[in-house]
Amino acid sequence: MWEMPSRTDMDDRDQSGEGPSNSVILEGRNIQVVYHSGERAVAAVEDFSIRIREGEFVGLVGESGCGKSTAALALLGLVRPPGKVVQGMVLYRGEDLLRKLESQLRMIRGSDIGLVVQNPNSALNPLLTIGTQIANVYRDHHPVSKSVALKRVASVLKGMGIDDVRRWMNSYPHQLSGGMAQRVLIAMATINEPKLLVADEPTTGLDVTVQGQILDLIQSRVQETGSAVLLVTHDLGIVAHYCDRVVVMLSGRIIEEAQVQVLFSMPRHPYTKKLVASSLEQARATHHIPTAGFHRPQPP
Amino acid sequence: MSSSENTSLLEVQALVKRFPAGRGNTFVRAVNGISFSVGRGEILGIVGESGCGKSTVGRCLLRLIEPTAGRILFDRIDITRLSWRQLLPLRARMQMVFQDPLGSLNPRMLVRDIIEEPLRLHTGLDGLGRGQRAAELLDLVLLSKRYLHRLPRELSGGEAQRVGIARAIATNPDLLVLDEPTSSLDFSARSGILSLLMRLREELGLTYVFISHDLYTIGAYCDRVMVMYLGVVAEIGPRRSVFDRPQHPYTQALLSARLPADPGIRLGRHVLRGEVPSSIDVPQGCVFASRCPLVREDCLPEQPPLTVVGSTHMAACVRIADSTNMLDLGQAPDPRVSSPI
Repeated sequence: MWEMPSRTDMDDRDQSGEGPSNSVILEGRNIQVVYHSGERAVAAVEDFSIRIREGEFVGLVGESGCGKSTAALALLGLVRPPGKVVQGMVLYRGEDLLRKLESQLRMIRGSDIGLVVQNPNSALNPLLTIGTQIANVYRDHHPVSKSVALKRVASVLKGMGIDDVRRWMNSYPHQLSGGMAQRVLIAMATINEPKLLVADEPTTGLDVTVQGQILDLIQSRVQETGSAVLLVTHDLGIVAHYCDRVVVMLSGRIIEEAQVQVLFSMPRHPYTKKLVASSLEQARATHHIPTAGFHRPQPP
Repeated sequence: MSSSENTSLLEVQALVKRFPAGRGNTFVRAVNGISFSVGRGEILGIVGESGCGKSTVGRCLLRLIEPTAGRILFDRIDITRLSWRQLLPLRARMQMVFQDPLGSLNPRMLVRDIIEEPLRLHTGLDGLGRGQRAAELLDLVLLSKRYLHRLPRELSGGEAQRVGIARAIATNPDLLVLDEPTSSLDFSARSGILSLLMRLREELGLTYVFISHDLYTIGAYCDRVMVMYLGVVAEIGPRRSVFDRPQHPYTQALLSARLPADPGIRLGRHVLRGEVPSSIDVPQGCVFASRCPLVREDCLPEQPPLTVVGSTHMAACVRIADSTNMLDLGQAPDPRVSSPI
């Protein structure tokens, strides 16, 4: 059973995924993840259930330590010791991903589901050029030669607004700035046009003027590929302007879930109320509505 | 305020800091000749993105890093000319609160010893006296006495920062340099620390240099704001003025790039292309020229000087002189804002 997500036209973003074909592409049910530390076992995530529909942009929000990254990794079958998924299932195309072999999961990740991690260093091989690495992701799922793959990589990078594509493709990870590295991760995660893109704090640590570039890039890439997005973040500003729907976590559990407009106007859980109230207060007190576009400096 | 009265606690003149970049004659030009002052009791916010030099400035103010050139006048004493020994008593009057609270506390020292350390160095208090003062300080930062006997690893981020603040105010300083004091903290700890800092400023008559990349924090708490880009000052002025009528294109872009946590606010963003150039290869001319949407010929070959746009508001952009409206140049510039470089 699906529900039509209700979206309000709060800006002129082109929303994909409207209409009766909004089927659920990924569903997590009652997931529980436990971490073993010596004698003790700590539940990092408890009773986590989520449904992500085609074309939706879902924000998974909470402070550090709330379990949001762990929950997202659990959906991809990426929880590793000392963590363990002790309960629950992740349904994708009628099958439970958590019952699949790692080799099968690898085929799904990278093609059907893309992942952008927070720290580019954990995803990039320092010994290979960027071009080769992105091409490898393409070739893992398409039987083509290296040169064909590189051409595809070049066209994706060009489509992402990158000017000096050749120089980029020949660079090594250590030569990239934070923003550039994130763009590479986004290219790698979306080159096979996944149904779902999971992005874990993709802009944390980046300069504020670069954040906008990266988020806009994610948004335009998923509009091109028709992907849904699960964006893990602690930043309510990002949620307010990019997400359709929000899932809020606290201490390993989901405490609230709502369409963005509803979450900000009518939060229900006391924690969410507090969070939203102070974020709104801060935003309204200090955000100056800028005049459109750029203008010459003017005297006061 | 008459212009002959100098109420600056801190005056920085033509500060330069270069770091060798490891290969022959190349340098990282972290700070490229900046001047500003801070009045007694005021909070000056220094904001900017990576590579702008704000953290380096903060460290130079306390001579944690030695400036390459320029002068720093603390209470009219040029601290750049002092010997280590001469500097020591002044250190009691200027302290720092660091970005990584747990990283700035010695993991092998009890909280009590961490807080007493500056008292040991700068005061003649005996053990009993120090103990009493330490308890007082914990009280000021709203931690119970139980914390005296804890180790840093037993503290949360917010608690560790409170200890860091207690240590910083132990010797009753005049000035605190706060380098991203809440950036590593969770949202819920953040507001507690910020209200503590504001309360302490009032109660203890402190002056703050508040370094942050977070425009919301700067916008909410600072009296004056200095925007830095690639080692220079792009704009400086009263917070209201800079936030409501930014004059430098970089400030405009920076302010417009914010994502307010309110879906009802329409964004009018100018998303800059490209990234901040490397501080090793600082380009000729205006440092912002490579990304400025309003760039033109006279932006090169020199970095534009700070130009007055209001009584204490200045920005380093060639376009300011263009404006056909009369600038308020009749009034003498406020002595708290140093003359352009």
